[in-house]
Amino acid sequence: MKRLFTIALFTMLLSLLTLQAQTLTLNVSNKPLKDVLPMVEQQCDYHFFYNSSLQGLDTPVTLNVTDSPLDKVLSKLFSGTGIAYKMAENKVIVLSPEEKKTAARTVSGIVVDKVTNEPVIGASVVIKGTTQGTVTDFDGNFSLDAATGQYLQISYLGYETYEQRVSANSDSYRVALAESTAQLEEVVVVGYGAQKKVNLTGAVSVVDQKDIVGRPTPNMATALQGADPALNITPSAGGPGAGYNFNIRGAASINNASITKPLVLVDGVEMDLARVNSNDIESVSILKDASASAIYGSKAAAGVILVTTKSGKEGLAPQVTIDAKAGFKTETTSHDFITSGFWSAYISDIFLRQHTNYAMTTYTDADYAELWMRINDDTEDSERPWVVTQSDGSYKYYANFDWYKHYFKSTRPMQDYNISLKGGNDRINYYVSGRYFMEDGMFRQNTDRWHQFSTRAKVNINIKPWLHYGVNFSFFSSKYTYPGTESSREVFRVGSLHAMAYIPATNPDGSFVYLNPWIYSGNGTVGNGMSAILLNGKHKNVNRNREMIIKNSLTFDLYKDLTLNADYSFTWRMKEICNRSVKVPYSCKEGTTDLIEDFRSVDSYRQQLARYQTHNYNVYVRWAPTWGKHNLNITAGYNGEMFRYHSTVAERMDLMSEELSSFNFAKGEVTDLSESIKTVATNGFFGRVNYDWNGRYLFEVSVRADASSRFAPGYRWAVTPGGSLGWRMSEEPFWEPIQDWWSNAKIRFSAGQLANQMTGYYDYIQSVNADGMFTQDITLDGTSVLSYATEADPNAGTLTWEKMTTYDLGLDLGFFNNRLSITGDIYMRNTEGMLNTGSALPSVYGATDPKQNSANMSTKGWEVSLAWRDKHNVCGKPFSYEICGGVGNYKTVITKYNNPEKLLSTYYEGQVLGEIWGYEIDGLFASQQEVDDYLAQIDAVSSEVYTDIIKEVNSAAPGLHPGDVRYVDLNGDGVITSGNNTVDNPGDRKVIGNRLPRYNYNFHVSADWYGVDLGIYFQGVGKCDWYPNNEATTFWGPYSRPYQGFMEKDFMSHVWSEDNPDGYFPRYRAYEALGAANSLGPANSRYIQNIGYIRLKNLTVGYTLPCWKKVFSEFRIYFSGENLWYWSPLLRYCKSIDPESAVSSSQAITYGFSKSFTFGITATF
Amino acid sequence: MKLRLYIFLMLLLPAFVACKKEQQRELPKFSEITLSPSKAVYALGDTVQASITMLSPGDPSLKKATYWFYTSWWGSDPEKTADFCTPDTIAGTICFTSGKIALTQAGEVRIYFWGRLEYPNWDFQPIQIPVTLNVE
Repeated sequence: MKRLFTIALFTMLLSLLTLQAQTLTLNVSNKPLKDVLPMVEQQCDYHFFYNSSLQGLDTPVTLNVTDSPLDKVLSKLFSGTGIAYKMAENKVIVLSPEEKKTAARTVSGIVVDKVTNEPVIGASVVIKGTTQGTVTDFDGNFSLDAATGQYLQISYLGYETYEQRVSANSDSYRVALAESTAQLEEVVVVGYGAQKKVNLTGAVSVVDQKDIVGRPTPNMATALQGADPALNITPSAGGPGAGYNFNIRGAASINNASITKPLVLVDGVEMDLARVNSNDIESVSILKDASASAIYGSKAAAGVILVTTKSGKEGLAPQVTIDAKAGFKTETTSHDFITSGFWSAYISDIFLRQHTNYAMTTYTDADYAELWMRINDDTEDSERPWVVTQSDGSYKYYANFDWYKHYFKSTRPMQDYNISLKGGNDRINYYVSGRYFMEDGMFRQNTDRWHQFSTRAKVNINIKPWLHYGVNFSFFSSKYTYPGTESSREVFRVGSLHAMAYIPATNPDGSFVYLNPWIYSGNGTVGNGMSAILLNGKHKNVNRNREMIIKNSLTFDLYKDLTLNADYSFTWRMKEICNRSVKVPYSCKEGTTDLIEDFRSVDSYRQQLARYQTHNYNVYVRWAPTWGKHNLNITAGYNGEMFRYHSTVAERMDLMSEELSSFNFAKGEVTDLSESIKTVATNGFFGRVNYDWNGRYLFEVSVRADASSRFAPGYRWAVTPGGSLGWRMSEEPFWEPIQDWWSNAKIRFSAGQLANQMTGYYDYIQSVNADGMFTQDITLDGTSVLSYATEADPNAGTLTWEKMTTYDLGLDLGFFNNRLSITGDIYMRNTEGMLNTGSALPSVYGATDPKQNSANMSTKGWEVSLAWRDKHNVCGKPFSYEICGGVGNYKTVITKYNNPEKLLSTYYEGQVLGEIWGYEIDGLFASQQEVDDYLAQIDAVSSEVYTDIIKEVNSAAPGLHPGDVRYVDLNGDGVITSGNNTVDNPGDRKVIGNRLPRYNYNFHVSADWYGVDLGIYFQGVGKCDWYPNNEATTFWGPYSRPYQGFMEKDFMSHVWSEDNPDGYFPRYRAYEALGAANSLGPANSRYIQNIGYIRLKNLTVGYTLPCWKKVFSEFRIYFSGENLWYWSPLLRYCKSIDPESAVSSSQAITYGFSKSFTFGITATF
Repeated sequence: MKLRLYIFLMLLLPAFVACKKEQQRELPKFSEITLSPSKAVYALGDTVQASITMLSPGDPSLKKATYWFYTSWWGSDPEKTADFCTPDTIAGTICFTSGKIALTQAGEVRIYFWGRLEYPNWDFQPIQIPVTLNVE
């Protein structure tokens, strides 16, 4: 192969050099061209080939050249003669009449339907290779300027594109467009095969690649968010490399959500969406119901996402596409926090004083005056220093320090480069791509940085007409370096504690601030040491991920319509986490330095290494015969998988250097050295039969039998059947009268069962824990330590599969030649045998009750999608556009659970999944009279929700006061309690909301006009409730902890006071949200937040340049912005929390979600 | 070409636009600071006393006001703190007078009259009136 390539390259270069090497010397004047040609032939190896009657041979030519290259001589020689020349093989120069360029003239015509002869309205008529064009009017007529020899390209949605050459003899054309079979023939990738979209009977939706490719997203998970109303993707955090939680049609089980994720198969191999390059995507199919997913068996319990990557094509010349974009990211939310030292001290003082009768700081009126005088000093004024050294050398702080800006950057760069090459002939086709993506993180000190590299190579070879081989290789590598502690993202919360604006990060001598003695308790650890750690810069962390997948496949065409497929794929993944920490210095007195004594400030090196290996085998046959109008498709085969996980963790203290991170330099205690190995094997047999009669009556049945090593012998096998029916009414003869406007109608029904293995790797075996062999934390006689092992609680050996049965009724409609399409589904999914604690055993049992397959739940939901696609003429130019939207909702109810008392602390029968129980608050007390009236009816002393307000004896004003929250006594017992925490006696609580996202929707508009393209993509959640956790400090501010530094500037304007009786938050008082005994701690109707949102997910504006056509088949410049705007009811009282961060976190304190602005180019040649 | 470029830019515009506005409250008005004794040039070690007169009380919703005198050289001196003062009403005029201020720094120095005005709903407003002295 290498030799062939070398010879080909050499030959090509040689021929080029030969042409260049041939030089001529001619001196002719007014000589007929035909007499000059022999002179040329004499001086070179070329010969002219032409018809002697060719016009122009008698044209007199004048030429005077010396040692001029042949190509230049020929160019000059034939210029103006009306003769064109072409260098052909065998050193022959062919002469022919030059095609005369004529001036553009007006040509017109009519476009009609080939069958009905009806005019086609709005058809696009474009001069090929240009942006000039028009669209047909209401009578199908068009008119535009074109020159002879140019081609008119006529296209319309639902019809085959037609090309008409403009001839010299005619100015009027009649074009008959044939209905496109493309839509009818459009195939959708389904399990172990593909099906015509119109013949689908399962609930399958397809995501268009143009909605994914080119967006400035780090991976495909981000790009798929909101792509289908059934697909719920929630980022677990912002920032580089953040993970995602996702499901299809809601959670499939109450058990481990990470296991119940949908199965993602990329070209048939399981892969994490976050490691898929969205530029490689050809199509994405989402298999939503059991009928469609059943063939994948045990891993498909939560649905399947099938990703097909791009391939080369037969007859495609090598095509290179380069996409490069760069831009910046910034946060989606406002972080306009208080940066005034005065206000940070003042607010923390008044809040704490109300709670415990003393202030947070020990600042006097004079200190407050110092702070006040600096209130407008954004930077330090020489007259008013921010740190004043006291006579004893200690520091006193009067700063206006922006802690958020100290920790985090507001903008950060990103770059994304993609290149791909594809092509093919009748024997081989190929697709090769590569990507480099880089983004900076938010950390200002030693900025965190994410590098990602990925490549894919896909080659298909037709070895014989009946034997095809394919190899698909992908490699992914990412590296994330970040400062601070191992879980440095904790800086978003703990970094703000005691980090008040009046304290700066450094002292005048540059030493780091850590302890602040100017608070009531004597010392406050500023930012829990995070600021000093980050400034010190010696803590270093690296996370590396590498993944390699190789898949080899063979397809044998055994007989007509009968193929045998066999493939083997191997996945290797490695995850490495290295953390280095050192002891960090600080100072709170001039001339002294101490070391932080905290678990975050230790001299240690820790390394975690995990390796994953998966071997996957598939062998299956497909037989797809057709007899007249009977179409059959049978697929049957075997799938096997072996998985091995191996991890090691090591940690050792006291390294000899702060710069070198290696165990070779560690000399201290080994604090961790452990290993974990787990293996799983599954075997499965599957089969599917599809039958349709004339594309009108559709039928499908499938079955899969799986065995898993996670269960004990005898409980390993699960058989999951599925089936579906469809009827394309629009294919019936009686539909013909309305076919013109109602083009497609299909009703379908499916039912099927899926199973999942939600247990741990060895849950059916009682294990022995050997941790004590290492920790040796038990001593005997006070001296000798013991090594020991412990026996785990007994397990139920009868654990087996959880099973889900799904029913789906769907309708697919198309109107106006499918310009308007509507798809709707209603479904029900029953999950049975979910693992949870089984029957309660007597306490004498002495161990945790073992788990059993004993819980059930049921999910009901619906989805609707609409799309309108059309073309018009705007300002004389074709304008095509598309408007799509979808919405879906579901509700899950627990139908069986071993909780006979219906305790609210766990699941219970009848529970709606995600429901939030809480108290009702009907307002704030407006006056003392209202308080007195309330106390006359309610025993506040015995009310749980007022415990802190009533009983905090140190409070400046104990007891209920105007401005406090007024809880409603729902059960009328005169006291506000949680009853006995059961459904039957919930006290004064009721269901006040649901934390699961409801009414997922998307809305997408795209348009293309005159080379300018526009895409606007909205995505949102209609309803989702969130009760801020005790530690949701950016929401609660000082109601949570009075010493937290990130507080919105307008926070106090929402606080109740006599001046502000309509304030949202109650009378100021610290810790009120921190704990169930405090008035804001328990969930309640007043402070529950609707975090539903609408988000401008993507805005792309592009312009395809009409120039450089000779070099590039396409050259486009574009702007693409991601997450540019959002609106949520949460914004009313909190602007610093992105609603999506609250969906997956009750604290909602996490790495900032980002919006991105990128500019890019796409060039194809 | 120009039309297309214009449309392209206009489509980009909404992504970059934002605006904001604020409102002001009427604050009390004060005279200039008067020094006693009044000199063109003071000597290092001289002692002065500053006073100022309120000309109008401003917004009547004022809940609390705190006033003090301060100097440009006290900032880095841990022993020197704000010289709080209470208003004296003399013949219907509200005056504020500092304690005796020792001029311990040479050069062009300033004495400030500061105020913190507390209006409802935590709307706190500052008063800052300086006078410059030459000390040799």
